[in-house]
Amino acid sequence: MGEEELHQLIGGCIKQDRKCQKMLYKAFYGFSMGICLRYAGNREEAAEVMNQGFFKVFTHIGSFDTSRPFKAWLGKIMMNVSIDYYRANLKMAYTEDLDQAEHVSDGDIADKNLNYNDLLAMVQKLPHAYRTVFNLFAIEGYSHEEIATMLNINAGTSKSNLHKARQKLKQMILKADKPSSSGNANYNNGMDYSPIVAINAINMNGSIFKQRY
Amino acid sequence: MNTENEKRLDDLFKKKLEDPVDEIRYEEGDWDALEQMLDKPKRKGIAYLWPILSGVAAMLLLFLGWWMFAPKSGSQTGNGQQMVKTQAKKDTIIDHQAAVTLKRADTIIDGANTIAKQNPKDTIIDKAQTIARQQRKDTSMDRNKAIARKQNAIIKKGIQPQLNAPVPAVNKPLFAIVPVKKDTIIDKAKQPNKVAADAFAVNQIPVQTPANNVHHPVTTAQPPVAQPTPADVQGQAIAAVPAKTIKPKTRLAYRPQFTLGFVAAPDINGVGSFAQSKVGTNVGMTFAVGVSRKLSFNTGVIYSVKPYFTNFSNYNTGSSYKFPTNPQQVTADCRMLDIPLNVNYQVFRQRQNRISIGTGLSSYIMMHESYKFTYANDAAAGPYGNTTSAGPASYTVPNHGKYFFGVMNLNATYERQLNSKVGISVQPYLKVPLTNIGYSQVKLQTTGVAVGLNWNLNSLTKP
Repeated sequence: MGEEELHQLIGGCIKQDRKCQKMLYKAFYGFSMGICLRYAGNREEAAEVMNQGFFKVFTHIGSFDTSRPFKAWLGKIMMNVSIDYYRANLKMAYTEDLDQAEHVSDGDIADKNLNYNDLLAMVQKLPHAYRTVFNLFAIEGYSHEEIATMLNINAGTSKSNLHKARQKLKQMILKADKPSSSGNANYNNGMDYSPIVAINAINMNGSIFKQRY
Repeated sequence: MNTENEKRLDDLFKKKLEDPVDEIRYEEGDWDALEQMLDKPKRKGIAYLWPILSGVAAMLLLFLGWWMFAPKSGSQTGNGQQMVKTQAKKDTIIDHQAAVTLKRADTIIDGANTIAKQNPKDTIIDKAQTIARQQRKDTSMDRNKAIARKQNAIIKKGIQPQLNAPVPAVNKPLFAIVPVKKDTIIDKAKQPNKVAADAFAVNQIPVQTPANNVHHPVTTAQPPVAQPTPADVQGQAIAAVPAKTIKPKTRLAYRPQFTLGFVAAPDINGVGSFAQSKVGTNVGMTFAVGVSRKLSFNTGVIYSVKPYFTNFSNYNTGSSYKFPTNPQQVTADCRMLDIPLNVNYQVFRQRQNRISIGTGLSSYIMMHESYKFTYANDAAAGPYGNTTSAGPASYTVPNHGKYFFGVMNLNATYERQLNSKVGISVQPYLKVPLTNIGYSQVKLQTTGVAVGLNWNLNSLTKP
């Protein structure tokens, strides 16, 4: 999508034009969902959070500074909505036995040919607190101090959660004895929990959303 | 895991997950869901009003408390008059004291101050008028006003018939007549007269009027209603159940949130109204279970000291005991366990701050219940059996009554989460009696503000 076209869409959204809203939604669906999927436990949850994000976008688009990159603004909103969702759902604090995660051998993680869906499924399998910290630190690039402020936790807790997240991810990677020809990792075979990943995201090459921003 | 491996791991995920646009297919159903949200802005608008609505609810609660606090003009007038009658003896004493004070004041003022001597009552009347004005709402003040007006009229008539100035101006011209050293003399005259004036004013106000109680607010505490508190933020305490135990759900299930609270509350107790109120104290523990993001139930055990003071007309012993002579007032000392069962709904939430409104029922389990009786003639009061006594001076109820769900709780709670585990709360509340409470079968109502410290138990299940 060209810059001019984007500004036109934003202009339409400011006027609450539903067609423009839908076009903007479709154009940034993949980008937004990509963020929310990382923070959410499954696709349904991610879609719900993403829609909350878009709702904020459409209701506050008047405050968007058009001289700044829209994608960055949108990404920030999606991240904030995801964090808000995490904070609002803290009560669903699942406990987990972490002892296993403490004994992970330092195997090589690079020789695994893991694709997006594999890695996403692993991240989504993390406890919500670990997942949130891992996302903020490893992918978004925030410091522990910043994360502590954002999540209202101690920096030490952030470090601890990150460490545990990494341990668990590594454990999952090492377990993923993935045949290179297969489209999916089998690390969760035998589990009665279907991999949360965007199920429809398989064979997505050539998607109509191959947009350039 | 060493640092290099950590970095490699982070990079692996960052590279693959950072911008996976091509991996995600558009779902029309998601847009439909968003469109539904966008089509319901008005409903959202109402949601935005929740903070205001909750504020209004809290104000209403407080207003209701204050309204009940104020004396009821109809019934209280009679009581007030009765009290004045019964206090006749005391009045005489005060009158005497006032007279002595006046005399002393006059002596101090000296012979030079003729005006002050002539009109010591002016100052007194001023005071009485002022007090009468201040306590306009108090029906018992009618008597004051009447006296003040009467005396004012006398002064107008007798001392300065030549002055047509309005009532408030009466004193100034009078003092202006004072010759030399006017200011000093007036000051002096006013100063000693102040005591007399106060005494006079006190004399004019029936002792034990509701207004008196109001102006000397007692410090009471009230059974705090438990805090409903799904903890806001507990960063480190979240973990997910192993995938094996998770069942696919469209929405994540809400895990009940448990909160333990310690509360203390001063409150005001009154029978029928808060006109004759006394301050009580409450201390206890509460336990809350959040069953959804907004809804929570709470209960607890609160030790509650509820003293109250009421006219004997509110005291019903049924046919169990007949007083030889009915007392005038009853002072009760009730200590009980208050077991509330409330439901709370969160109406506003922003970061660590939450506001919720709640209602429910309280059960009272009486631990101690004693009554002291005041008789019309002080001399008549005394231990039962005394030759001059008209009835028992006090009575302690031997049995511990239980009143299940006899009181309705109304409350509004502001809560602030200090960290992931601990929060503090302030909760104005009102307890409205549904049944008669205690041996005396009174409609005991309570209003107060509970202050609480809450501990989020879920934080203990740290991953």
